[in-house]
Amino acid sequence: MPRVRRNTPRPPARSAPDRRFVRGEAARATATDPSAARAASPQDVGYEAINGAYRVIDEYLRQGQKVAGELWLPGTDGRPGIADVPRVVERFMQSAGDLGAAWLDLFAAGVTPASGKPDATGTAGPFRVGRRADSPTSGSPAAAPVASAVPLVVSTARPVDVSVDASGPVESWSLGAVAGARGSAATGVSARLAPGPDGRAVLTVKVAATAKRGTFTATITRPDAEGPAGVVTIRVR
Amino acid sequence: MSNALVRDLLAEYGEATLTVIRDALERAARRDPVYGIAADYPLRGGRALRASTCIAAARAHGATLDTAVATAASLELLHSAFLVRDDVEDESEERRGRPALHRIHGIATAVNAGDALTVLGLAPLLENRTLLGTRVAFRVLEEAALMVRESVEGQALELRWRSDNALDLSDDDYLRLVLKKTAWYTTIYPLRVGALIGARGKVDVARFVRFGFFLGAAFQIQDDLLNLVGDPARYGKELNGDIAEGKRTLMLLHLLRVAAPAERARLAEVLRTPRAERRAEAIAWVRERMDHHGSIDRARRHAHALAGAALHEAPGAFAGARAGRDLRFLQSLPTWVLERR
Repeated sequence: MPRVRRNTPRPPARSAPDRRFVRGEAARATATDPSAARAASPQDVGYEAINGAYRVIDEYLRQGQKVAGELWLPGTDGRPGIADVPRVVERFMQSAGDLGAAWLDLFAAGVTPASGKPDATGTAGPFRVGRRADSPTSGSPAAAPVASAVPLVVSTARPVDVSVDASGPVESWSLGAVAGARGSAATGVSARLAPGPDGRAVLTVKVAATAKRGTFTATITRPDAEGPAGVVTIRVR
Repeated sequence: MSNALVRDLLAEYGEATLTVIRDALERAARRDPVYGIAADYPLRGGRALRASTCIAAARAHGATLDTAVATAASLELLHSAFLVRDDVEDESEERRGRPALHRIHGIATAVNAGDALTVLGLAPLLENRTLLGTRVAFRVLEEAALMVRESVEGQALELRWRSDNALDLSDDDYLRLVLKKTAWYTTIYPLRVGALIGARGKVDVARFVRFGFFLGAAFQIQDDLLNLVGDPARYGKELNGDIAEGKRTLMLLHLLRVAAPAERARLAEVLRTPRAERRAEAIAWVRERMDHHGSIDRARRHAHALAGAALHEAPGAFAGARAGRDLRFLQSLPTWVLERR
């Protein structure tokens, strides 16, 4: 019987990634440099430079991932399930983003420390700002000033952005029903404009945990204005 | 790829950025003279590489010039703030062809002017809220905080090396320093915030880290080479100034590794000597030894290799970018950094 020659696979000639991919303009520049004539050798400076650079950046990125992976809530064994990590990180980033956005809103509204403002009784971070709003009704209330003159009380179980864009004296405003896109129902989202303890109008926005994501609006009208005088926009995230 | 295109866009975006900076400085200078002193470096003119990279990345991802130029101006102002402090810490004599700020006004005034530049650099990032919306503006602000942190830690590392007279450093050590001290604010941050602005926050900014690092490292090595072999009139700093400052460049680290024991001992002594007492003959000797041992040619090959690595990473970095001259500009940067004179 004739003997069959077996094709034995050759072992790989290298054990590390080949990153000698200097090409394009840089390759031409290297090729024209006589001192770079040994570029094809694995021992070449360029080869070592590239491998060293990848080593450094990979190590840096791994450390970044390790830090991100440590942003978890304690689980039964002290670590979250793999599927939980992205969600926890996302929630963390969401909270950080909301906090930062709130600070930017305050800066943009020209908020300053309350000293010299005897009627300022609300709080936001280290600052005392705005006027005291109506007593919170439920949930996690937070009083914050808005660019308009109306005090705002937000009671919400969801991350929300609330903005008021309207003209004229607040006392003359009337607030319509809150509606979703194209007039859809705003389940779990409400807004009310009513006098506070000092008789001044206070805008109260409530968002329940069951509210759907989306943008909801309530129209502001004034008896002396033709058409809408403004709008309250509530964005549930 | 065209280096002429790079030069054209650097000029165009640099001028747009300078217009914003000039306006901010003029308004600030009416409030206090410190801003007049602070205006010195930004108005001396530079290549505007960082600003142009930011604007090009933004436009390549869908932004207009108007929405990106304020962030680009912020970057150049923060860059000037870094330079003022770097020049004090490094005891540099010149910057962009003229005496360093502390050589004109003294250290205290220069440091305060650096603080003023930082404040001016933060203002556009807060104003971004109306331009970009709260969420994207905050993402840009987060990136700025990250960039400043990395840059400060990089500078701290370099200062420790010098104060400790560190001699046993590897090429990897040098690259770690360059990643933090140079690449983050020269290339990685401009690319990341530009893309964030253009894509309205809907972009994975991690994709720019490798490209930005390789590009930034090639840029820094080329900059270090120009300090030794560049045209003094075009380079804008004193030649061999890095040796005088004891800066741990790739060339110096190579020389420390290959020098004969007697040479290495003398080299250590030169580096240990305070800058003010470091003699011109000693600096010339170090420079000559670098030539003798091939340290400069070796560093040049390093820069070319890293530029090649940047070219290799470019398709992944710019997978979400639109075709056009802004994308071509970004893709051309690795070859441009090698041609700087």
